[in-house]
Amino acid sequence: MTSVAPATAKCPYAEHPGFPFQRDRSRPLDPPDQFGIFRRERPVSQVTLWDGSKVWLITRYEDAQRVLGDARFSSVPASPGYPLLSPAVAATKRGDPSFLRMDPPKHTDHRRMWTPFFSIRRIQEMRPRIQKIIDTALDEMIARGSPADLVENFALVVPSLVICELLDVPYSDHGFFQTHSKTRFSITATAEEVAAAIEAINGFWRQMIDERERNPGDDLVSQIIVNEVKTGLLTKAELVAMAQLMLAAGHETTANMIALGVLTLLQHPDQLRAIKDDPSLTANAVDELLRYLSIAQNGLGRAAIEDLEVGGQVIRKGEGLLVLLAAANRDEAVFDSPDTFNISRDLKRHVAFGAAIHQCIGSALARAELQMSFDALFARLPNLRLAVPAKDVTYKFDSLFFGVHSLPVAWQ
Amino acid sequence: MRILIDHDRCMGHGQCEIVAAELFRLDEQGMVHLLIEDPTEELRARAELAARRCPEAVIKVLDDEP
Repeated sequence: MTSVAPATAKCPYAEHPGFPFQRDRSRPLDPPDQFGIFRRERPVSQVTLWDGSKVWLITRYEDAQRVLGDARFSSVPASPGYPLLSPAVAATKRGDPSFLRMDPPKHTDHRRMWTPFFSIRRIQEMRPRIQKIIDTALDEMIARGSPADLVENFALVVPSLVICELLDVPYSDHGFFQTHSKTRFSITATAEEVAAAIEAINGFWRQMIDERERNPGDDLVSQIIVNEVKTGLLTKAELVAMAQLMLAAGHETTANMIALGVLTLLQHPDQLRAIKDDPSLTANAVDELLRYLSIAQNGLGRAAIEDLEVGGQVIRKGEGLLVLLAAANRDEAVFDSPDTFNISRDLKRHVAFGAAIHQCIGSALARAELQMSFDALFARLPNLRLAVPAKDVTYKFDSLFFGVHSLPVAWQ
Repeated sequence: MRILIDHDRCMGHGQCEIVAAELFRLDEQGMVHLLIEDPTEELRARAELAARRCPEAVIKVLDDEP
């Protein structure tokens, strides 16, 4: 893999420092220090990306809500000025977009095709199956013996199996998807590598969709084919793009949150003890983990399609923005002692899933998986602990989603 | 004014409760509950803001039928 080093900013006061910033390696769970410095001192200001383009960083909570809540800040990567965070992200600009990369009214039509499958009600019905997947993964990890890598044996297995079940994809194919989605979300992969990864997954889906068109089942994709593709509301290429996104999102995000969440809880033993003693606290702890970790570490891209004002700064038509969710989620104007991990704080407002019309469609599923995973893991293995010194844990600093590469744990 | 909620599409984002806690509350499962079905006109602006902020567009604010 060709490495493209992100331009690092030594001095946050340089006129247009390079972005992405680097985390302080001694506090890897905290976002880069520049996030806080920008939020306090220059909350809407420009940085320079790898390709020399300038982009506005949005760092305050209120400004983040303002930008995400206004569709004149376009989510379409082809819009002039849309920030392309890395050569890899530039590659995803091509091809048929999923609704994540659409603006209304098209976005509204497309997203509504999928929302029934992710509703609170549907996720409640899935809970027994999710529980079974979690229990089986734990049985198998325990059978293999302590110590073990929690990422490979549990954190990746659970969300992969859940999304495979939702999309009715054989789990035997999960290795194929894991390999390609890892490349897809790497910001050090080249444009060609990312394009090849996307094409490989798309090829799989085109074949899968052709088969289900002939023999529809009762799975989600078959239902979309029957209701939307056959009635002409959706093209097959658009369905491929959406299926690809669902699968990739299901693999990467929740897996990173499970592993990072366990690590964070192990580093806060008092709060871990509290949720072990009273699992009714886990749901709020999950939202605090989502806020504190904000794994979409380099934010969400937008492009202004007309002149607009944000936090007193005029953003011109054709200029790009990055909404830094991790900075907004540590805004002292909204959260008391924002850098402190505190599972009992009031969390209704965090923006770890984004906000407004593009807010994560899978958030109810993610919350269910996280809460059930933590409860089951700490109930079955109450002595769970790190099997290596904390400083030896390796982190995904160069990925769109923050996480750990592996998490060696022991329980005996 | 009447408020309608499409419960089947609710994803429990909770944006409605943030902007209009008098009208909307999430239950323990994270499902939205409407606290007042036919609120007074003073709450219209809040109800409409909640409808706009809902990522799933499941909230509708209707005029009373004549």
